[in-house]
Amino acid sequence: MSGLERLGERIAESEEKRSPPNPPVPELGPFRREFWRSPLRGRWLTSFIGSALLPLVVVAALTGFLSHAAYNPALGSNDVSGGFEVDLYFFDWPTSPAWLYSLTQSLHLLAGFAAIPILLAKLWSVIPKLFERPAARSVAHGLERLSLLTLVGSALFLFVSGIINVQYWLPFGFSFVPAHYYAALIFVAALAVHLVLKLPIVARTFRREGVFRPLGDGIERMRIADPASDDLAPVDPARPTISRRGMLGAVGLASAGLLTMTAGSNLLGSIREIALLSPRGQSYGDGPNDFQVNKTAATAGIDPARTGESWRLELTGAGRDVSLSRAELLAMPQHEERLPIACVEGWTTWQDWSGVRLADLAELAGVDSAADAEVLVESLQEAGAFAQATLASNQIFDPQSLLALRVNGADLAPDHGYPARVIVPALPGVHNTKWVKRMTFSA
Amino acid sequence: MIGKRFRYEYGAQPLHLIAVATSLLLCAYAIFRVGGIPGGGKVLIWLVAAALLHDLVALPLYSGLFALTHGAADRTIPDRASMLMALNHVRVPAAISLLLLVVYAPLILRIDPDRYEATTGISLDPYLGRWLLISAALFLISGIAYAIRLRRGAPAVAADPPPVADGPGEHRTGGALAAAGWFTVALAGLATAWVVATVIVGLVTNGL
Repeated sequence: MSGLERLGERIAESEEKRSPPNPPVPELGPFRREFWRSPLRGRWLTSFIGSALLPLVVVAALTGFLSHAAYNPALGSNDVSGGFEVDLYFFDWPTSPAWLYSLTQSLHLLAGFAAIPILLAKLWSVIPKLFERPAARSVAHGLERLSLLTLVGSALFLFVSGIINVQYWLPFGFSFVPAHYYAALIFVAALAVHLVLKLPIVARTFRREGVFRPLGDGIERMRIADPASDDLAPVDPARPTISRRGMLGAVGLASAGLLTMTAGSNLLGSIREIALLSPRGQSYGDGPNDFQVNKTAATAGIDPARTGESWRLELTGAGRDVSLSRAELLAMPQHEERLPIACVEGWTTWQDWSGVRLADLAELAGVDSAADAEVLVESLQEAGAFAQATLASNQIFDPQSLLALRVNGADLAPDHGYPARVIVPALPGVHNTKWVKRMTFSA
Repeated sequence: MIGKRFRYEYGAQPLHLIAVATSLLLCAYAIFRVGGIPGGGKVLIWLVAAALLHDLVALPLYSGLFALTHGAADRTIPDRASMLMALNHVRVPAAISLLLLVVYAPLILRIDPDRYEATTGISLDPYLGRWLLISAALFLISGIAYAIRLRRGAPAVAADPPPVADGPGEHRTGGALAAAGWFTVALAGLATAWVVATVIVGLVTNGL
C-alpha cells in the first residue's frame, strides 16, 4: 500500500469521524437556495458586471490616494487623516500642469458616481451567497466570508460617505476625510484578495460561456445557468421578465446618467449646465465674482470689521517681520494668472486672478528660492481644519503662485477671500487659503 | 502530502490562507487606526451597518418594488410578451429615476438646506424641479421607444419555452455577438478617451 493510498484512507476515515451523518435541518426563507429565483443570476452575469466595475474602482482608488498626496500631508498640520502614513507621501505635489488636481479629482468623482449602479447590480447578483448554508464550510470559507464583509462594508461606506459629503450633509458625527481614507485602506486590502480569489473564476467563466455570448439571449430563449456547476445559479428559476442585456443596458444607462451629472461640474461654458443634479451645477450669475464659493465668509465666521482698513498682512520670515496693508500690497508688482480652483468635491472653476507673487512675499520675508522653504498660511477664519495650510517650496516659488487681491478685474468679494487669498496652480481648492492674515516662512 | 493534509484541515491551498491573512491583517491595521480618530467608533459601526442596511433592508425593498410592478402588470395584461414589454418600459425609467433620487437625496429632498445654503451661498430650490423634469424626460424617451416597438409589430406570443440546452452548436451567433461586444467595448473606450481628452484640452486651453 503506497503512502498516498494510506493518506487517502486516513482522510476518508477522519472525514467520517468529523461529520457524523446529521439529520438535515430544514432551512427557512432566504436560507433556502430555492428562495432565490431570478433566472438572470449566474457566474457569467456576476463576472460581466465585475469586469465593468473593476476599472472604475481602480481609477477611484488611485485618484483618491493621489488626492491625499496633493494635500502634502507631510507638511505642517496638512495631514487631516491623523495618519502615521504621511511618510509614504515622499514627493512634493507638483504645480504643473495647473489642471493636474482638477483632472485627478474629477476622475475620482466621475469613476465613483459611474460605479454606483454597477456596484448595486454586482451586489444584487451575488446576494444569495450572503445566505448560503452552512455559514462556513471550512476555515478557508469562513475567513473568505469575513474578508467579503470588509469588502462590501467598506465599499458601501466609501460610496455613501463620498456621495453625501459632496452634498454638504454630514449627519454621522465623524470627520469625513480620515473616515473615507481609512475605509479606502480597508477596501483596497479586501479588493486585492477578492481579485486573487475570483479572477480565475471570471476567466474560466468567460472561457466557457464567452465574454458577450449570453447577451444574445432575449427574454424568451434565455439560457439559465446550471445550479450543479454554478453556485450563483437559481435551483428553481422563475420565468425571466427582462433579458440580461436589458438589465445590463438599464445599469449602463443609469451609470452614463450619473457620469453626465458629475462631468458637467468640471466642464466649461454652457456645457456645464448638463450637471443638473450635481451639487455644483448652478450658475451664480455673470459678474466678476459670480463663481462657485466653497465656504461663505459668514459660515467661516469672518468679522467684516477685521477685513476693512485696519487689515494687515503679517509676514514672518528669517528674523524679519513685515506688516503690509492692502494698499501697500497693491503697490507691489501685480501679476495676472488664469488658474483653476479645483475642489476635492470634484468641481472646477477657472478665473483670472491678479495679485502679488508668493515668491516676492518670500523675498520680503528674507527667504530666497535656493532654500527648501515652507510657508504656513493662516486665515482670519478661527476654526476648521482648513483655517491654515502649509505650502511647499515648489508651490511658493512657482511664478504662477499668487496672493490674489483681485479677480476678473474686480476686487475679491468677501466670499472669495477679501482682502487677500492664496491661489497656487494644481493645489487642492481648500489649500488656497482665503482671508489670509499671516504668512510664516521657514527655510 | 503536507499540502493535501493542509487543504483538508483548512479547506483551501496554503496560498489562499496567505492572501486572506494578509488582507485581513491590513484591514485590522486600518480598523485600529480608525479607532484612534475622533468619532472612530461611529465609523466602525457604519462600516458594518452600511453592509447590513444594504443587504437586509435596501435590497429586499427594491426587489419587492420590482415584484409589485411585475404582479400588477401580470394581472392587467394577459399576453405575456406584451406584458413584459410594457413592464420594462415602465420599470427601467422608474428605476433610474429612483436611483437619481436616492443618490441626490440630500439636494432633492432638502435634507439639510441651511448648511448647504450657508456654505455655498446658493439655494437648494432648483433640485426637486430638476429631478422631476429629468424623470419626466426618462419616461418620455422610454414611451417613445415603446411606441416605436409597438408600431414595428406586436411581440410574438411565445409558449413557455423549454430550457435551452447549453451545448455546442447552440451559439451560432457567438462569433458575430463577440465581435459586436468587443466593438462596443472599443467604442466605450474611445468615448472615455474622448471625454478625458476633452476635459484635458478644456483645462489646458483655459490655463493658457
